[in-house]
Amino acid sequence: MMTRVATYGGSRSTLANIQRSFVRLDRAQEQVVTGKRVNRVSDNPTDGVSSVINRTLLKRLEQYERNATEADAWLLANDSALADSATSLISARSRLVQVGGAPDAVARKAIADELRATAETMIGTANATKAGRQIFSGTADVATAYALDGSYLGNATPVTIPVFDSIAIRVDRMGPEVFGVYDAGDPSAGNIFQQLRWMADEIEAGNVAVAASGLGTIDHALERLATAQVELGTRHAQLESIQANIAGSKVSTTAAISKNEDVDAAEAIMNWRTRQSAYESALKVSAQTMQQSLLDFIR
Amino acid sequence: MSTFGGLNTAVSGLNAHKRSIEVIGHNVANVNTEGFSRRQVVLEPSVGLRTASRHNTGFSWSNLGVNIATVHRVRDAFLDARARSSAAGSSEANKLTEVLGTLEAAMPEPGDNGLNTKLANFWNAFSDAANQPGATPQRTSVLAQGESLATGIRNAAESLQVAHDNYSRELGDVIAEVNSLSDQVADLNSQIRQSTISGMNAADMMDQRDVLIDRLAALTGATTRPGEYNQTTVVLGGSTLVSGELREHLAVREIGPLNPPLNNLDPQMTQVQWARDGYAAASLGGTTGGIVAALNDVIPRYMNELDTVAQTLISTVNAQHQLGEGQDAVSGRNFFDVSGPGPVSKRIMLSSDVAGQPQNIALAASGGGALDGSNGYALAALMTSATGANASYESMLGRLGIEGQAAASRAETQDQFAQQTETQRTSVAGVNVDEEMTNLMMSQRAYEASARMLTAIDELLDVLINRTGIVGR
Repeated sequence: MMTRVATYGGSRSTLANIQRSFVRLDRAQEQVVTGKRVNRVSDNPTDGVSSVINRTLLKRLEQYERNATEADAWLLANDSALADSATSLISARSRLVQVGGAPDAVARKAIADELRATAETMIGTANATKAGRQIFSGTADVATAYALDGSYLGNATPVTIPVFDSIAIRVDRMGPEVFGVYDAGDPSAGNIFQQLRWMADEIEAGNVAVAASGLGTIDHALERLATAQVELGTRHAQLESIQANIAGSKVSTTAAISKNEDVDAAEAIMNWRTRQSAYESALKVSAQTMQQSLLDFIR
Repeated sequence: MSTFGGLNTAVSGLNAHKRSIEVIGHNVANVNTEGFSRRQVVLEPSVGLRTASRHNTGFSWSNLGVNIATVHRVRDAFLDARARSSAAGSSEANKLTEVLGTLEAAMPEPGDNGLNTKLANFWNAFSDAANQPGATPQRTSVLAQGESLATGIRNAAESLQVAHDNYSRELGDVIAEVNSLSDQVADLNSQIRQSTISGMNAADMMDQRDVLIDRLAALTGATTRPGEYNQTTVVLGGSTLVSGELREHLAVREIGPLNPPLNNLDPQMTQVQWARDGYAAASLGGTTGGIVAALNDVIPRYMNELDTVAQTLISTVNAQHQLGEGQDAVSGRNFFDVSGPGPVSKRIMLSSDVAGQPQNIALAASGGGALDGSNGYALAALMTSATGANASYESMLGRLGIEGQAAASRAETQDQFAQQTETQRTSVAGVNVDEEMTNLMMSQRAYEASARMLTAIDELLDVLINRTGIVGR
């Protein structure tokens, strides 16, 4: 129990208390002004570090989002190229059906020319690009996936894009998978471009029997295209659900960061008000008591 | 008893109370003086000669009145010691908090300007480049982000070094102040001794000296021992800093590498030594102790942690980068490198394998084709690796944050303790105006009463001298 208080010591400890009150007010003000509960890690090491980790996660999710957009663009480019190829093949198929009516040489030449044109159109489609890059050539850096003679110039490495932790989606179809494998020796057993040209040659030469087996060949090619499209569709569906996941994770991570770092505005302002009135009353009381001494009362 | 003895008694009262009033005046004048100890006039009744003799009736009338026994300097040595040791503790804790705050400022997290953001941008640049392996702008952006990350790490390391340099300089200043203080204390000791021996009051000099010792204690954690003739001996870690008028000086020296595992860093072990013989000054506290701990432990420890982050970054990125190949299908290239020997965090830079050559960034897996991006994605995935640079950076931040928080709360506790002991000390030694006013009234009244006594005796003598024996005149 302290029995006496020195005037100097009393005002010094009053000052120290006012200062401590002011520091608390200042901290509350910092929270209100910055809107942050954790302005440095030492404010709250646990929340601070988890906030740092969450910020990294958020960046990663934003990257996944960009990767998914990229994957989406790939799938779309593939899909439209495949659809175009299928359209071309269906028109070629209807030409072949006409061969059944035993056409004359002029008509046969017209059909053959049309088949050749289809082959060329399809090669053009197979050389489709996405942002200047061939989409059917794997990871090879080539100007075109297919040469004019229908031979494949790409490689056999698939293009995969990671779109989430440990999920990578394959976004391409390689030429040989979609259009068949090139066969330099036997064009009838080669890819669809070779086959169309071979059929054109045979029909022009009068071998109309080819048309019958050709229908099967084209149907087979259409089936390959359809399979590829179904597969792309499946991946697209998968990608969409992953994109939804990413968006959801982004929201929850952002919320976690905000929960760690941000102040509850109402609470912060109330804290600040409380501390401000504490500070003001400290000032008022000190001003009153420090003024007074026995001197005020004697004589 | 002599005729005029009563006058002497009254005069002794006038003198004593006038002196009391003067002392009260001194106290009031110094009410706001730091380190001032209030004075108290101790009065005692005059004691006459009591020599045993035939005529001595047991009470001497020869010497009535009051004496000033002493003017006491009110001070509690125990509270002094407590206030000093708690002030030293608070200075040390505050210094460490300040140091950790500086370190935290060098790594502004959580935020958008720290290394964490630079790391994330770097990893993401690999992903973006892997999305377009043939595009030079994206590859160049990987180099730019890598450069920015390396610069960020170098800057952080540089900030830590600057902090170390600054505290090193501050230690020099503090030790210079300590030396000057010990000189002043020794000089005052000598003056106090002379005054005391010659019977003069040395209280004001003692106050002045004790303020200097307070500062000395806050700076070094020194303790005191009373010496003879009101001198004070100042002791630092068992050795004498000031004894009487003898004083020792301190010096700062670097004595070789820090203790492992910090021995590979640039800072050297700093030691505060006795200037005379070069022995280490033991158990330093206060500001000096705080700075020495910062120089030899705290700052180097975080330099080392930052180094670990840089090393992890270099080794993980390079290992993965070497697996892949650039657009020329050549593998085995490094991404990061260090310039010369020494701490990695200060010397991390882009490897000459890739600097300025975006085509050499190994985005493709080995044999994966020119437009393969799978190694780029693998590099980007290092972001979430449990043994990667991010993980080691996060654990460093965690330790820094916890240490900073603990230091801040320790400093606050120490501050409150120091303030409390200081209040206790001033409650004994400090001046209270109310008390002085009361004493003033008492002394004033006593003075008035003594004056009245004088008047009364004067009247008695007047009767005796002027009106006695004048019958019939």
